[in-house]
Amino acid sequence: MKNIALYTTFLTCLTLTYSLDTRAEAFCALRDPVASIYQLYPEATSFRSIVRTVNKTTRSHVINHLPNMSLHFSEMGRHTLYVALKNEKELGYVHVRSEKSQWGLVEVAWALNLDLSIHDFTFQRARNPSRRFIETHEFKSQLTGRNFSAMKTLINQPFAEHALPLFSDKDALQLASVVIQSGLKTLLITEQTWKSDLIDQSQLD
Amino acid sequence: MKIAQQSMFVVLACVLGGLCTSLVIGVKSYQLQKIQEVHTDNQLHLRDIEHQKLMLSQWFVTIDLFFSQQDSYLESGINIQSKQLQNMFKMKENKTYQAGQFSSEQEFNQLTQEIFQTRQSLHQKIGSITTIINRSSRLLGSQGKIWNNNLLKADAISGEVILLLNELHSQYEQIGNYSEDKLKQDKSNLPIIIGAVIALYFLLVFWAWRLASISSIKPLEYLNSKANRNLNLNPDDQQPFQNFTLLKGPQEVVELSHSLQNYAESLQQQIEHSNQARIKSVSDKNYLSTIMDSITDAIITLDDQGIIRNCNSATYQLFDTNEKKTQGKSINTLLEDTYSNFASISKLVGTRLEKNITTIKGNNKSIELLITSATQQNKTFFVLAIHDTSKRVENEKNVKRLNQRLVSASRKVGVAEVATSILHNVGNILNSVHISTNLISDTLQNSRIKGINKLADIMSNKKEFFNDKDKVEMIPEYLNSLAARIDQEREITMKEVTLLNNNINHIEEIISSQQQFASTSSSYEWATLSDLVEDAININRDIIDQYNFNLIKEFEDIKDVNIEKFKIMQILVNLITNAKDAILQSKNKNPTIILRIRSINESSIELTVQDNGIGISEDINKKIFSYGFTTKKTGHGFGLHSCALTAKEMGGKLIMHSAGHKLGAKFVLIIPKDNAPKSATVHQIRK
Repeated sequence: MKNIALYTTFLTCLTLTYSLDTRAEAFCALRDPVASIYQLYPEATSFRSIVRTVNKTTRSHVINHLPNMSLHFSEMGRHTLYVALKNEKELGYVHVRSEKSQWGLVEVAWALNLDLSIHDFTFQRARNPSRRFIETHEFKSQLTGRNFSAMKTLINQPFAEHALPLFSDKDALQLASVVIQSGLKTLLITEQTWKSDLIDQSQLD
Repeated sequence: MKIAQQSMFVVLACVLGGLCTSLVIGVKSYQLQKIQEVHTDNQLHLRDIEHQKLMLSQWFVTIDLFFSQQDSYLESGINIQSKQLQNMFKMKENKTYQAGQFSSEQEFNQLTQEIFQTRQSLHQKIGSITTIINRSSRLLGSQGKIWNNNLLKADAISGEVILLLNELHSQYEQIGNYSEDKLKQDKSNLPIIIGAVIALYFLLVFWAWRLASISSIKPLEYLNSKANRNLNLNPDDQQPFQNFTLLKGPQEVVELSHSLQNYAESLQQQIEHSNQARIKSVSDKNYLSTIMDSITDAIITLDDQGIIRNCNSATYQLFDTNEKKTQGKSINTLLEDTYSNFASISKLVGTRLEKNITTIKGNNKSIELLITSATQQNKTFFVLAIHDTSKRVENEKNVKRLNQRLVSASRKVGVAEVATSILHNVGNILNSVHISTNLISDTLQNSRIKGINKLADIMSNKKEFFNDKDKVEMIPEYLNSLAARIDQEREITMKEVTLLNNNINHIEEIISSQQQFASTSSSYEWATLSDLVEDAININRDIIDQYNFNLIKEFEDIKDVNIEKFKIMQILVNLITNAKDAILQSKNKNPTIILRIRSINESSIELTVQDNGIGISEDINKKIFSYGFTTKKTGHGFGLHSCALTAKEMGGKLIMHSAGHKLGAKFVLIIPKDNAPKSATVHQIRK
């Protein structure tokens, strides 16, 4: 229990540290996520991209819902949400987010279900060698199916209890934290920024 | 081993032990310090790795900025950072740790090598990333597949860099763990080792102390205890001394023990001798005291002041006094005028004094006093030996009277002896006379002169006789033969008559001698000694002739001497008679008597009668002149005793020499040539 409390405290501090970072770098996707879309949705036959702007309102929204994980100013701007299609049928959404980590930017391509729950994710960039632990099914299964609310609970203690046995090293835990942070932001920003597009899509269905 | 060597060994052992202890502690401290250095160094490395991680993180951010914002100015920053990183990962110090610092040196060396390789790899990887960045920089503005590939390559290498860095961290952690474990172990072991070494050192010191104690101090304590025990011994108990001898120990102590043992034995012997001497002294003192008390003479010891210090019980009896009245008093209280001063009594030392004293009780006594002196401890003391001569004086008077009577008796005995000799000789001669007369008588009785009567008877009948021619013819022959026979008888008778006459003359001479000596009183007269000796021989002549003794006379030509002739004659007759008897007793086939006269000096003459008779054995030798002593069956023991007294009376002496039994004897009479008193009557001697 003591170790769990320590790791929780560490994750919280790490989150706060990154949230308070004032550097003005732009953290957008460096690479085209096309490959990631087909990786995340192997049955997809095509995709559609929807470009929207992440603005101050979004940032404020994030601050409100995720007080310790505010958006960096460089994260504001035009961002793309990809809709994976199988014969014009939406399979889900793909959104790539860059998140600052110990070893530089981590680009995670998030696959969201149509109900904005986590379907899957993959790293587009991650220097951390512990990414292999994060990419395991055991870890991913902890996130799969979680919406924002459910996802948010992972930063609390129960997540740590589930997550700790998976990671033997500190780097993996840090990367996991970054991934969860990235996932939370993705769910929140996707809902906030592409809300109208998603409604429209659902109405289309 | 000597004490100095032992001490040197002990000191050397302590010093070496101290040095070893210091060395071990120093080495262990040095090793601990080295491990501490390694640990600290490792901690610094680990801190550096954290710093490197941070720098690397910053570097990656810059790279990310470069790739995201595609600003060429970031390239130089990346290059500078990469150089900094490369410098950090460059092995500036190829430290080699000393063997033995870690539990597994091989593992440690492998780790060190791995660290080196890891750092080298990091250095290379960072260089590779920098190279990719530099290449990408040249693609700015025309990003495409190559750009994207560069990005992926850079990310891949970055991942390797992170892995390497983690590995480096892990390696340093391993070293850190090693060093920490080692440090902990050594830190925990160091007090034990130091304690153990110090304990060993103390053990060594204790051993050295014990060695010194056992080898040096114990033997000395042993000797000391023995000496103390010996001190407590009572010499009167006669207990033997404790044995000091040590077999083991330092050479000096062993030698000391032997010396002490010798000293103790010597001391014990001295004590034993002292005890014996003390016992002997007490015994001697008692013995001396007993002797002193048993001595009938008074023995008095005086100091140099004439004070009586000791005296025996005879003193009290002699002087009718007691101890209180004598001890510490002047000798003058007992013997008046004996001590006036030291010089006066010193003059009396060695002299014999005769005194008459009157005791306290008024008894008159005659004493003989002999004073001697002795020195003891530089002090002179005098010893007075006082003999009570009262009885002796009385006895001397009695003896003098008896002696006079004895002399008289001896004289009578001597006269009787001479008379006996004379009578014996006369008797012998009378025997001869008797024989001669018997022979004459027989000759006359058996004479053939009767044949004449017979012839006359025959011839008286003339007719018949003369008719018988044969008978007539035989008459001349018969007469011739008768005449021859009668002549023969006459010769025999004449011879016997002559002998008879001689014997009668001899008797006359003997009687004449007897008359001569018998009539002589003790008066001195001038005499010729050779004549005197001849007279003495003549008195014994018959026996001398009878047994055919060899008489050897060795007479010096000596002038007449003034002597008591009768006494000398008496002695000579006695000595010759004894010589004759001794020879007869020995049955010597060559009986010899030597008579010698010689002058010893101007005043003395020596008359010797020597025989080769039976001799005198040594046991008899001493009592030969004793009164009543004789070896003859018919002797009365007066002769020689009387002779000795007579010789002494004449101022001479009679000495006997004999080589022993059957070896003859020699009697020497020494007399003065003229010992006659001035008032003595002088007789003209007859030759």
